[in-house]
Amino acid sequence: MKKSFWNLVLRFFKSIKLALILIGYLVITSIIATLVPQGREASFYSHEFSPLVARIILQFNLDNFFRSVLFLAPATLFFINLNVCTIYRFVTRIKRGAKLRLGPDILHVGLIILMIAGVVTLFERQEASVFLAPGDIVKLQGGYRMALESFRYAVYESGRPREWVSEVKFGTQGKLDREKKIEVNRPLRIGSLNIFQSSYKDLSVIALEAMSGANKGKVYSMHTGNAIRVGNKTYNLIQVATDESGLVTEVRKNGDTTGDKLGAVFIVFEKNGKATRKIYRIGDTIDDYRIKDIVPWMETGLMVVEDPGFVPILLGLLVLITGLMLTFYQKIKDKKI
Amino acid sequence: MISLIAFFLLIGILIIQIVFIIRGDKKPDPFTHYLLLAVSLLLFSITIYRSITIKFVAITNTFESLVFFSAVICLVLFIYRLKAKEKAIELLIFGATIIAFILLSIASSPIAPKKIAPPIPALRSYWLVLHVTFSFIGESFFVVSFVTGIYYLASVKRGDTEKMATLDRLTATFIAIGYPIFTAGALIFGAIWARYAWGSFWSWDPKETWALITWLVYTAYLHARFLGKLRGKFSAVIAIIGFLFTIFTFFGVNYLLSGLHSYGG
Repeated sequence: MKKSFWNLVLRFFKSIKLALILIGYLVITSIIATLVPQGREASFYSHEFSPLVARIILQFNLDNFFRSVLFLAPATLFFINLNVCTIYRFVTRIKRGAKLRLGPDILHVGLIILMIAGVVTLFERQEASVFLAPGDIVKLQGGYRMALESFRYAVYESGRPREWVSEVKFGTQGKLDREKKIEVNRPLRIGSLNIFQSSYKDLSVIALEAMSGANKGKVYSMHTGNAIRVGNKTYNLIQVATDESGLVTEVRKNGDTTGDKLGAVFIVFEKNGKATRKIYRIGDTIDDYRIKDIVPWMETGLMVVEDPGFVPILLGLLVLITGLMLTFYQKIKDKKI
Repeated sequence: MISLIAFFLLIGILIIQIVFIIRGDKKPDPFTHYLLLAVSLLLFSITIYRSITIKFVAITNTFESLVFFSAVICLVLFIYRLKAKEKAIELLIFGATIIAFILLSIASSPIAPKKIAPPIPALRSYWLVLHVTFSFIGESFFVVSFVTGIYYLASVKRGDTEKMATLDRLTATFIAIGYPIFTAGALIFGAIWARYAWGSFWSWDPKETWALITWLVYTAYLHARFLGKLRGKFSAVIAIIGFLFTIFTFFGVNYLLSGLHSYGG
């Protein structure tokens, strides 16, 4: 009786039909989850959807689907199914003395490792965002300290971003004796932390002095992202640049206005829809206004991540790709391809 | 200019293929696959030229991606025709050529700006290059399995069991080739790139989720093959759905859903 119960359990969990049903369920529910914006406030769903739909979304946690029971429970069942299938398949082949087709087995093991690593990451991953101005120092875990030496933001002539680079100094025991650059796609690893270039704040400002009219002598401040209308043109301040070309903003000290290559980069929109890029330096005039001052002010946005799942994930990916290559090779060898 | 030549060459290929199909010759036409190779080489030359211009591999926007995808499809068809010789199925090559043509047409449309522009920082990564190239190479095999799947269902209606068996085998073969390449590209290299670009291997972004959905569908296909009852019609339907999901992952997510991956334009 006991044996037949366990046989039933084994048959259930090693079943390909179970795997297919679970895959089908995960496909359908994941599709639904992508149609519902994830991780928003409850009021967002009440506003965007009908009361009934909003209720269903919030009741069934469709707003945070991939952390909900509706996803994690079947995913766990799939994990068990995968484990049982993998072990059963391997053991059966050895018992039968059959040719070992290790490719799919290794592939399955890779998936198992990835799923375990995914759970580790889900519960143990920590991340924090920090905005630093040049000269700022931040304390990190493991006794490290990091200081921002400079931040560089460059664009192509089209205005699209070209690079974001944070130059930092870091070290332990009060010393900042190591220097590195952090760029997008090139994070910095300090101890168990990984630091990513994730964003920036441009708080640069220019001072415009009115040269004529009732407001003659009055000084207006204009931040990047602001626009002014002068005559029939609109001047949109997009960047305060620190080089001749107007394509690079490199700041070692916020508020430093002594650079002779400081420029305010505008996109000028004319009434006929034409847009041109223009650089104005201190002393230049825009119609009745004179650029009195240009103050570069930037902060870099860094994301500090500690993820114990990182190494297991890499291992899982490596095992997965090994399994894939072996499966492919075995199929070609069998001339099944 | 080169993409225009490739475009009109594809139209020419399709016309020749239609003529041969209507004629009802038992053997496939003897030369359109060489024209497909020519189209493939022309399209690859666009990728090479743009890569030299921007000093990085040019597959970071919709136009470049579609050109590369069409090029690989044409190359796959050329290799298939070369290997299958007289046994090559005309309708298969024709169907997949139509898809390559549609993709190139979309590349020529306003939704795919053709301006040559160097990539933004997040796209300047060789993991991205591996991610995109391997994904499209894998998907080019899914294009063929999509066509064989449709052709299989049409054969079921006609009751042509010999043809059904051949098409079922071909569908399985093309998915068996495309699946590991797609897995490596879409999931493995994509996850590694995401980790370097955004600090996380996986963030359930709509693009990532749809890539996983597509992968799950093809995984289901391969496992359903072990159950005899699910071969044939069921398998063909899965192969068709898989490719439709592939297309939605590329276009639908870019233009209908938003997320980290919204670099399509």
